[in-house]
Amino acid sequence: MQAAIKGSLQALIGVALAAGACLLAALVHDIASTHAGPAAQPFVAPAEAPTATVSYQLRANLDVSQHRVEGSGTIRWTNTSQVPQRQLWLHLYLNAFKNERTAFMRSTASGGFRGSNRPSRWGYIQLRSLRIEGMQLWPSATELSPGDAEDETEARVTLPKAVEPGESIVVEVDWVSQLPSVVLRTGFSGRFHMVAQWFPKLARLEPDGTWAHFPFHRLSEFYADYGDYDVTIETPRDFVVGATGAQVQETVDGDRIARRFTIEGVHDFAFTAWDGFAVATAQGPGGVRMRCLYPKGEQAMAQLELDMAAFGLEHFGAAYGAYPYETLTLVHPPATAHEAGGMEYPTLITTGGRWYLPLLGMRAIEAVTIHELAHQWFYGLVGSNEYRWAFLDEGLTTWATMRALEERFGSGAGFDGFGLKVDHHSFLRAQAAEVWANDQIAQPADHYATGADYGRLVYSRTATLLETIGRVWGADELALALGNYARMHRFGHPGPEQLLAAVRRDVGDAAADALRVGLLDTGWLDYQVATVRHHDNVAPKGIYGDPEKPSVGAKVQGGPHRAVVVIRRKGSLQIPVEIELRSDDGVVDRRRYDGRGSHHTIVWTGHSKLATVHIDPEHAIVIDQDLSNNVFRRDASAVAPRSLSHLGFVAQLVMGLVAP
Amino acid sequence: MSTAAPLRFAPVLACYLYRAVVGLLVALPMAMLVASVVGGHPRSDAVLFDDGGLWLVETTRLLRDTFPPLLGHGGLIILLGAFGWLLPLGALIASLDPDRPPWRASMQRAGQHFGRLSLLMGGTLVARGLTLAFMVAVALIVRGDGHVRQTIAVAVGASTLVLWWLLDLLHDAMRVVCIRADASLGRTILSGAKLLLRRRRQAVVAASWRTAAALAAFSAAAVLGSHLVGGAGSQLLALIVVHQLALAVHVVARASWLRWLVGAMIRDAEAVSASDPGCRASDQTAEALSSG
Repeated sequence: MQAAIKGSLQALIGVALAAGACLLAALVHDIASTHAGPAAQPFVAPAEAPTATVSYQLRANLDVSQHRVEGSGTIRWTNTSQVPQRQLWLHLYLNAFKNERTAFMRSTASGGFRGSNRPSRWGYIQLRSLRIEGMQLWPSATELSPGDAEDETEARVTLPKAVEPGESIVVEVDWVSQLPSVVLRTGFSGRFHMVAQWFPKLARLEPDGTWAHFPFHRLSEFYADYGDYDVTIETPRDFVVGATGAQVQETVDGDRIARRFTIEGVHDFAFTAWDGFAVATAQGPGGVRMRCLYPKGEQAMAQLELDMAAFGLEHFGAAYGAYPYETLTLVHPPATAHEAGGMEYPTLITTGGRWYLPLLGMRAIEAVTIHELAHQWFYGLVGSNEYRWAFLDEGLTTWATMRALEERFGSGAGFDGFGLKVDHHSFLRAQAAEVWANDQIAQPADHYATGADYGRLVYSRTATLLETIGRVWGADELALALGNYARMHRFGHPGPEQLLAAVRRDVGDAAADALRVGLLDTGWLDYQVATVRHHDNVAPKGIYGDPEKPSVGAKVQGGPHRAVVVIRRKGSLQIPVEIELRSDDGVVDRRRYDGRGSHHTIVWTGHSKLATVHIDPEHAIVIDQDLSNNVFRRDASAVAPRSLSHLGFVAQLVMGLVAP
Repeated sequence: MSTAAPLRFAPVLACYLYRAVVGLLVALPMAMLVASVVGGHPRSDAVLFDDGGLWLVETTRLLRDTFPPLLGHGGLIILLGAFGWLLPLGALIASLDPDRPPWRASMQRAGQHFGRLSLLMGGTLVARGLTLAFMVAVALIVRGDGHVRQTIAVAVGASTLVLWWLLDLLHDAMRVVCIRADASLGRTILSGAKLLLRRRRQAVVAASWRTAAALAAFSAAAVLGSHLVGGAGSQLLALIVVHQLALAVHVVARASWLRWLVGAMIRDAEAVSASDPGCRASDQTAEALSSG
């Protein structure tokens, strides 16, 4: 009896050890296949920190039972344009969640991207006072969302006198922000609070004197000037707070605590407060103080996120210029507030994902951490207009995420489990192919027909297009171009032309032209093997020369077998491609098609018959619309044998579970 | 003292072939569909298993509309196949009689009890569903922080699998009683439970190592298969052999376990017979099983 139990246990332990050995082998393989860090590049010197256009000195008092922030403070603003200004534009984005008729809630493009459509409890921001030089401008001189009677996410303030170029004014504000239940990455869930878009925030004044203001649209993010923030947050004493910037002061008053955070050179400020947070800390590259706030009991996830953040700070710092801030705060929201996860704010990112995902081989936690961290460059340090050119932050960030994950995890960067390794770009490519001709990538966020279009065009298609350019015209060159773009426009507000100029300079004209077509037009491409015709390579029949004394037609040089292969190119992108032709005797012939014209004809000869044709065998053109028509095999199989065996095996497992 | 007949090649082979054919019926339409995407690739469907998964994801994308109906079709075949499985399995149990009945007689016996075997399987599936629902409810009710929730999730998952496994042991015991004793459904269930409970420790040990052997075979096949899948020729043949070997080990382990149960039942019957020599043979089994 005991021997039998011992035998059973030994068998079980044997199975466990075998599984462990496999995991270990996979881990060793991953580590071995991880590349070395990026090579030194002749990057340009990064831009210096900007002179603050705007300075916020705010105080926020969080009532955790009412989920309400009582706010007050001053905003010092300087007219950095060349044009005198008679008005200010403020964004009051929390009003997007005020009712069902806001510009945000009216949007029909909600499906398929970014969270739920409406909160279960409404939220708003209510200005109580807005004074300039002692003069009360609220509500008399303030108009909410001019031209849209139902929306209140913008405010135009008419100034008592013009602010001349270079002149500064101080705006004193008092307001209350009622947080909604968590929706689209802001709000509360129980006692957890993610407080974003919570204060009256100045829109950006462009150098030509126009205000880049816009309502909070369903698919839109943000755009603002760089500035300095000095924010004091008051909460119950037992609440853990994470915020943009570094904590410089802490004052306890009874059961309340006030924490003061300051930072320079950022364009937004957000904070979180919860009494359920545990805190893990670590030192990042360059002495960056990293802090992860996470639900108690989730230490493993916190450690994973801190590890990824340390890796990301080093990787992105080398690629796009060093991270210039002292702190980085990672916030893993509780499961009930998962919609607060996956968002970027300056020096504060929210992550997400469940503890069991790594066990299933899914790298979702790693991916979201790296993605939001990459936003510290493409959004944070390169402050492009997220409403007008969403691809400049989300698209570049997605590409940067893909490169970072593949450096860290190799070909299993997206999924690594059950004997399969899937990298990130394979998923992105598939999503990009789904929206190939739906719309152009580069357009304002409220112009996309659906959320799915927005997500796939802006994130996936941009990244896939960039990956194609790197693989075809040089990965190092593309990395150099994006590194220089990030450094030259650090603390700046570039548009698409600046990105295209960087690619043109460092990668070349053809690459820049393809990128322009891909981004600004509805650029797409599908190569296909149109026809393959086999012939014997014999002298052509007919009468040649003098009919009285005909000569023999000249046959094509080469072996006795001949094939005519027509390669077709569909779409507006012109990208050169390699074609591999293989004969029955294993001889391989490589041809190149420059990607111009609608088709390319190859006359092939060999000593045995042409067996296969493969367009783009190295998979350089990942933007190719359909890979299945890139291949031809003379004896194509009607049944996929490995799939048959595997699927039959899986069917046995299922049947073993249902009917042992 | 007599015992169950040794495992015979033909009934075990019939069980293996039945499972293999059901697996083929499920997999073949899907494999043909996959070939419509990668059949023209120079490396055929080996490319699906390349590192990076480019063709795997592309094939999934291109077949996203046509594959799900086939999954439904496959599920239906598995469900029907699960009931059809009761015939070769029942015949296997019948063939373990010490009298070594011919294969045809064994099949006839399985056919006679097909309805009751189906009821037993349906009932077991319902019991599994109820077990799962109960365990999920427990997991949802218990509160705690992340670590507690993770522990509960793992414990609930493991407990559910163990309970399912115990239910399967009971199910097998009831199947053996069903084939060997012409008892009512209620008595079959009761007798099956008693058969197991009377030798619960030996039964758990006997079933454990056989289950472990089958799991090890499937695990090994999965690991080996993932290494063989990219090759052609002999590697492809090895892949098929490895998968089929795992199935064969599973079938033999099942047959061996059922033989153990049949042997246990015979020993119980003989114990009753020894204590009451006048009892009719056909009554001995039921008597033995209901006593006790």
